[in-house]
This record gives sequence, C-alpha cells and structure tokens, in this order.
Amino acid sequence: MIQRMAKLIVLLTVFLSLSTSVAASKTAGYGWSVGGASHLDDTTQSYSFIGMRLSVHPLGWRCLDPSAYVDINIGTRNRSVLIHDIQAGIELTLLRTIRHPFHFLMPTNITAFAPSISLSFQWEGMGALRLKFSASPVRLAEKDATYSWFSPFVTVDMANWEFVHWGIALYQISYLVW
Amino acid sequence: MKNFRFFLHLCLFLCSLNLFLFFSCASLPPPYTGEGLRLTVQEALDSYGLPKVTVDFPESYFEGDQWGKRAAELIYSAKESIISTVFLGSYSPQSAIVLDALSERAREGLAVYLIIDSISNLEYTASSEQMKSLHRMRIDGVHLLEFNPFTGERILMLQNLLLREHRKFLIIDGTITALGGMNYNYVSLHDSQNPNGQRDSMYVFNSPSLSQLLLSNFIQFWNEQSWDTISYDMLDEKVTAEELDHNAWVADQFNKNESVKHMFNALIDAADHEIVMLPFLPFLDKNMSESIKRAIDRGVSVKMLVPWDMRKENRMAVQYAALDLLDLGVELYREHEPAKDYSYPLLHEKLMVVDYVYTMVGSSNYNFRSMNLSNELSIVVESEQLNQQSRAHLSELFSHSRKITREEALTWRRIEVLPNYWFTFIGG
Repeated sequence: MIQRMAKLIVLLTVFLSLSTSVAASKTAGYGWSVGGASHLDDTTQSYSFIGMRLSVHPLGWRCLDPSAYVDINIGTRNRSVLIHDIQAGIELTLLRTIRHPFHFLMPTNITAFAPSISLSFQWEGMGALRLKFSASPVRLAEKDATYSWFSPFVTVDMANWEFVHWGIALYQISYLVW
Repeated sequence: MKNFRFFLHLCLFLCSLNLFLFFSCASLPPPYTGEGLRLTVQEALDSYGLPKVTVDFPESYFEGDQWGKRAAELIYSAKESIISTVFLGSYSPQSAIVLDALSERAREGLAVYLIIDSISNLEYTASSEQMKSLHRMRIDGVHLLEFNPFTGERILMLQNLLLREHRKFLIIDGTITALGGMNYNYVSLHDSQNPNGQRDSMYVFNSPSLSQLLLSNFIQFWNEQSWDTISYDMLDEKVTAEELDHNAWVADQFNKNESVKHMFNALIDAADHEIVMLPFLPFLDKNMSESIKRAIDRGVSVKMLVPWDMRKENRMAVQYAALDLLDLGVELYREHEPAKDYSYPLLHEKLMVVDYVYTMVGSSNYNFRSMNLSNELSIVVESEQLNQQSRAHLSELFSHSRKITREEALTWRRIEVLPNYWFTFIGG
C-alpha cells in the first residue's frame, strides 16, 4: 500500500515539475526538501532524506493561512536507498510580511517572511503511524514559491505518545504551479 | 535500487510525455475562415476578441540613441507614474540616460515600476562586456521586478524557466505609451550605426485608451508576481473616452493568453494582396507554416527579410530554416553579406505590413518562441499613412538585401546545423 502511494506521489510530483506554469491563479504545486533525522532511542541509525511534496494552498490569507500537503521521503540508511515514509498534513503560515531582515537570503526580488508550523501523520513502511510536528522559522515566500531553511521537527508514536525522531529539514522548496 | 530504477523510468516516461504534450499543444488556433467565408482584417481581429483602442499617428524611432533621448524626455515629463517593461535591462553608458532618469524621478517621489526579464543577467551580446545590474535602482525607490528569476532556488521549476518576458514598453502617466523592440541595454540604446548597436524601432502613441489598457494589464501582471502590490487606483477611466484618428488592436500576451498568436493568425488569414515582414528569427511551427501557406495559396504575396546576423550560430540557424520558408512560397530576402572588415549592427526590428492599411509593430518576432514561450506586446494600427511610412522603411531595408534562392538554401540544410537550429528554435 505504502509503495503504491509513494509511486503515485512521485509520479505526480515529477509530472508537475515538468509542467509549465504562469504566475496567475496559483493554488497547488509541488516541492522538494532535503534533511536528516535521528532516532531518540539510540538503537536505530539516523537517516537522511530527500522529500517530494504535493500541496494545495486554497486561501492565500495574510495571517494564519492553512495549506495541505502530502510528502514522500526517500531516505538513505546503511548505504541503501528506500522510501522511508509518507506524510499527509496541514501547514499553517503564521503571517506574511515584506518587512523582515532576511532579504539577503534571496535578494533578486522582494520576498515575504512567512514562518509556519505543520502537523502531519507519518506512515513508515512497517505500518507505524506517527504524528509529526515541525516548524519553519526561517521561511521566505515569493508569489509562486516558498523556501525554508533549517526547519526542525519531531515525531511522536501515536501508540504510546513517546517521541521517536527528531530532525531538521535543511532546505525546503515549494512551488505553486497550478 | 529498485526504487531508483522505477524513478528513472518514470522520469524518462514523463519527460517524453510532457515534451509530446508541450509541442502538440503549441498550435495556432483554428482558422476562422469557414467554407467560402472570408473576413476583412477588422472582422478577423475582432473575431479573436482582441481589444480595440484608438491611437494617434505615432512618433517612430529607428535609432537606439535617439530613442534613448526621447525616452528620457518622456520620463522627465511624467507627473504621476512611469511604468515600463523590457526584456533586457542592464546599466551601461548607453542605457544610463534612461535608467538614471527613472531613478531620478523615483527619488522625486513618482511611482516608478520596472520589470526586466531575468535573462538580462545572462546576455551574450556586446552588452555583456558593459552591463551592470539594475538592482541598485531599488535604493532610489524604483519598484523593480526581475521576471522568472534564474536562481538556484527556482531551478527545479524546470520547464517554467523557458517562459520569458519579451515585452518592451513605457507608459507615462497612463496616457502615453511607447512600444517596440528596444531594450534598456548597451546594444539597444547604442548608436544604431555602430557595429555594437542594433537597428530596431520604437513607436510612441499619445493614446489614453491604449495606455489605460496596458496599465490595467500591467497592474494585474505585477500583482501576480510581487508582494509589493500596485493599487488599481492608478487607473483613470475618464481619460479613455477620447476617440483618436486610428483604430488599433492590441495583443498583450501574458499569462499564456495567446493574443499575439491570434493577431498574426487574423492578419495573415485576412490579407488580400501582400504581407511584408521583418520576422527576425523566422522559426515557424507547423501551424504557423500552414497559416502562411493558406495566404500564399490565396494568391497573397508574402515577403520576409532576415538580417545578416553577425552571430554565426544564429545566422546558420536561420539559413537552415530558409528552405522551409521557400518551400511554402515565401519570397525570402537577406541583407547583403558585409564587407570583410565591417560588422552590421543587428537588424532586430519586428514589423509587418498587411495590404495597404494595416501595420503591426511591437516586440513579437514571427517564430515559435514568441507565439508560445514569451510574453509579447504587439499592436496593429489601421492607418494608410503608417502603412506607407512602414513600406518606405521596408523598401529601404529590402534595397540592401538580395533574394535567397532554393539552390543556396539547399546547401545550408546541413545535418551538423540541426542542433544549432533546434536550440535557436526554442531559445531564439
């Protein structure tokens, strides 16, 4: 089941990335991320991942703007590559302002500072269901894209409500193309 | 590893599918001509819903440095707002006259908005040795937008990177509009007789209805691209009421609205006698070729003049395409080969006259890229006077050219030029 869903997400993400877009009417898109995570119990090896995302941003509010997403993370562990997990969740952009000190990160055009928090369900191949909390304190937005740096996250096992992972998404990009 | 193979195969499949869909969708709209139906040019343009405005007889500029001076005059005459878009914008001694004027007016508190295409930073003309970034203009208060930036962050947008902003216009106070083919860079605003310059054209219309239409489109486009939004209060509907001497139809092609494609199709399908054009880089897709063929089959004479491009890669690509044009029945001319120690300033102009009344000017080349992969702005003016002036200008250019024969076009059709041709077909 997880393999089929993963393939579907990969397929849609790659197809979207090859599709032309214009800046107008942007409510859906795709994204990429790279990061790493560590198990808190010290018995399982850490892993790094490349993530692909499909997302919808239906509202475009200036404050408390919700969006929904599905992520697939392809991880590397012990030199093997595997589909590590699939996530589905919501992201809440807390605010959006062009008055911020991070313009040096993306000086080409005026960007908006748009920090966010996210809550998602995470499925791993073994069937474990977890809750993932993440924050993107350094997140900049163009009209058709958002970029996040160093976004920390934790996952919680829903069976016993214990922390399982912590990690950082080093860099995340989301493009709005449709 | 299995996942990797799956991913690789998937990528290859989707790339192929996407390219197929992309090219198969790149088509002109179906011709409006039905069984035995022939429309006039007016009816054809109206049938595509192209916005109609009225304009005065325009000032014409064919020299880069002269246009630079006039643009600066217009900018200094502005009382409220200055709106401009160019494909290539970079600071150089030649473009300083315009860019410094924009900065000065912004410092004085005027609303100054400028869009440049991001490819300005990757220019490979003679400008590349002179140019400096325009971003410093923001310090002066100029609202600057770099369209579709070529940045590392956006590189994964892949195909989106092909879409470029190719319009060139200047709107003063929502009443005067200049449009054409000239950029704000070293080569465009250089002395047009200098080998480092370009031969091009700009037309200045004192037309509130045209200006308000373009201003409205500009605000929409800008606000879709930037958080630094513009209020629609900048529009003044009262100024559009005045009727001027000539009807004109506007193709402001952005957000893939295909209006330039419609304009060309309407003009070519409605022509009765003659079409003369400067297409610049005439790389026609199947549907454009069919449009030209229909006109020729009706007995319309189609003449094109291409420059002697000093950039060998572009010249060879145009040479490769020559046979296709000749086989359609186009009378194809090219500027004479320059003397050994001489370099032409590039003939970058885009112009089309249809019969004896209609003239199309603007930013759009007659090629695949302008129809499908660029924002473009062109206008058709219904004016015998402008048509005559344009014909005289074209006659002068044609007098320094010679007709291409099929025999020589055959010798240019070499397989080793094909990659060059395809690169220019998409990128030109």
